[in-house]
Amino acid sequence: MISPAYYLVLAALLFAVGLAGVLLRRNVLVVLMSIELMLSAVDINLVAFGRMWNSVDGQVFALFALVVAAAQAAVGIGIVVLFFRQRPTADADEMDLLKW
Amino acid sequence: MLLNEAMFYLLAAMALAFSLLMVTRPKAIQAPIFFCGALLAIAGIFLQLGAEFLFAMQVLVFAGGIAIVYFAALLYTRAGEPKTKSARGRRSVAGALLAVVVGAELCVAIYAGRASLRAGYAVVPDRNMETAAVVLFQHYLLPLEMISILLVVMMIGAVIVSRGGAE
Repeated sequence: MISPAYYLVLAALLFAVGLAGVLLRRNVLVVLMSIELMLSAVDINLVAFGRMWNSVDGQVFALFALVVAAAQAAVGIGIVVLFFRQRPTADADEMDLLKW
Repeated sequence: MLLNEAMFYLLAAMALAFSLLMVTRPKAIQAPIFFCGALLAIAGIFLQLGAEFLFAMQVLVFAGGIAIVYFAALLYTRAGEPKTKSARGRRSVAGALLAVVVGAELCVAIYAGRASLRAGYAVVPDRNMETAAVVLFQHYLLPLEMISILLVVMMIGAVIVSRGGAE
């Protein structure tokens, strides 16, 4: 088997790319997608560690993380759509209604 | 064994290339397509690690469902990066720098802890998925039920939120 280190490095790089997306992009939906990418990168870690110890617990945890990511996407998109009705923009910089 | 490694490098390159494209392409409407590609490549990584069920879930739920929902939401919110110019030049540089630093830091941490990493079984054990199901429904039954309640709450919440409050 390939050493787990390769999978960990891949996950770290994907996480960093996702973080760059969160920090750089202004469209809220692209920011949400980047967060999903970061969550998937963490799933790779969980599965790789599970494989390292020859147990399936890592897969089960990754499944739970996947479900939480799906819930986050659904509710996040709902909030963005609702916000769009209030103020027709998807720009993260414009979303300052709660800012004093 | 060589084929296995070649597959890993191919899938890793695909995942990284698609995610980089997603983050760097200026047109927001293209993002879900690259997002879909990156998720499919990650699904391939799961398959290679012997997580068949996760592979199926990733393809069905993420690449098949979530990416399409993002696409529809982008169309609904008049896709495209906002036009207004603001002083984001310095912030962009700082953000990119921060992401590079975090990635490098994680890689350094992995390198420092490499001694405790070891390779698992060379081949995926037989009846892998069956074992996963047994573990899921016997040892993790309570978390599984909680996750299903979370999904129900999420569905109701998403409907209520996007309907736009009480009429």
